[in-house]
Amino acid sequence: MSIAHLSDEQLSAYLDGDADGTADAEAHLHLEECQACAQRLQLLRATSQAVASLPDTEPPRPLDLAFLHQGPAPAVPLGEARRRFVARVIHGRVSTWAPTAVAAAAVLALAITWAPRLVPSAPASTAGSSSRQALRTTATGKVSPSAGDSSLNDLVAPAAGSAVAPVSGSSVQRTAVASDGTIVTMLATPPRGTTGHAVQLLLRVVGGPKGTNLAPPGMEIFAAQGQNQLRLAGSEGTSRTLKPGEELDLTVEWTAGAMTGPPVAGSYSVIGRVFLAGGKLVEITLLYPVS
Amino acid sequence: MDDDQLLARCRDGDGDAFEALLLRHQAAFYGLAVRILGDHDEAMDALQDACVKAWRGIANQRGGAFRSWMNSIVARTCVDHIRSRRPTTALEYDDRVIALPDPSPGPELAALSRDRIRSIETALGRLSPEHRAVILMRDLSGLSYEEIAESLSLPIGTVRSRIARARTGLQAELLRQDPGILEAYA
Repeated sequence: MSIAHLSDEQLSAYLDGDADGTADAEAHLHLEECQACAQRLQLLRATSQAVASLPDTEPPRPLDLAFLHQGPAPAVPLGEARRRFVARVIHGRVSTWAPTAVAAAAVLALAITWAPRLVPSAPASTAGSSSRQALRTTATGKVSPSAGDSSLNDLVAPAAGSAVAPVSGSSVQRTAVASDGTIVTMLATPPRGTTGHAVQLLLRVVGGPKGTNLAPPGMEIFAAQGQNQLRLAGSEGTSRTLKPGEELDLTVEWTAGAMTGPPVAGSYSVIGRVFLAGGKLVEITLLYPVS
Repeated sequence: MDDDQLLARCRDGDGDAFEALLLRHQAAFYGLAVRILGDHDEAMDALQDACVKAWRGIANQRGGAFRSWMNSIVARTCVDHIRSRRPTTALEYDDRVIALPDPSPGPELAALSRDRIRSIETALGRLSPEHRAVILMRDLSGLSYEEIAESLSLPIGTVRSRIARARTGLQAELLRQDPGILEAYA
């Protein structure tokens, strides 16, 4: 035998052709003589090929490539007492965060048709009506239905690590998938709030493979702290039917920290609720620190 | 138009060419990101960041295949995301959340059982982020030791030892799950 048994590092480098000429030749000679090392090499090769066999994975939603054609939208600081609400509905295409003329028009419309109101914090089952059902995962990531819910056991379990949100990047978001394939995403940008500055919140519903029927009150966005919830936007999409893949967005700007008076730092939650036909409620909550 | 032709257009500031390249290879980039990070939302965020970084640096792209170059950027961005995680202050989610399932299977999936893929991904998830990143960069994306070292700003010896440890660690985890699983790849 030319040398002692090869180390894992030597075998791995040999497998990749990374060993230099002399080391490679010595390893080659050794492997011809040592069945144990040859078997270890075979296992390493199989491990490498197992990883290589993993299929490509299409992103769950399109990339936002608006930056290729336009500069980033500047942050818009808001006055402490000022709240501005923007609702936007886009059908069948991907929306961006950039304010649009449609959004500007919607501000006026919303200012006329509804105003934010404080509502007491309530369990999801009572947020709409007593028959609502919440999609729920436990803190450990295991899917379990809400109390009294027996129709949601076919939900897909969350991926490993999904309990922790990203804190880097330009936004933080969370996606849920209902048993009928309806996809609901809640997104907040920036990922952390600064007191008195604008936070953009997006609640998106994408129709499932067989379409999605929304039930009153449709889509709603709330900010919450403690027992209080501030209804920021809604009711969008009430009784609407989405075609497969069709998107419905509800977007709102919230002044970070503003609840019942001047904005203050603290721990808040932003909540998106989507009411589906059949008495189901998809609720997504992001804890949102404001400093 | 092949990748090299599109890449040449990108260097001249052609955003449409860059978009075409991304759309052509996005499944590979996303597959790398989601397996390094283990979270669909964070992977999407990292991929988005990587696209912006790549576009900003594409004029200085020194040649070579777009896919390898972009894979390096995606992997580095994912590692940056991992390093920036602060568990004690990380945002937490309410428990009424269902994560995205794996996207629809591609044609490669037909050759593999879903169980086997799940086993490999589960085993990968039990490696440290550093080991997971290097083995995916090497064995999934096909990056060279030099490319990995440059991308992660590591000495090449460190890359070599990490890859070896990652492979033996993954192998042990796979065999623990299913003693016969590697026979399919021998």
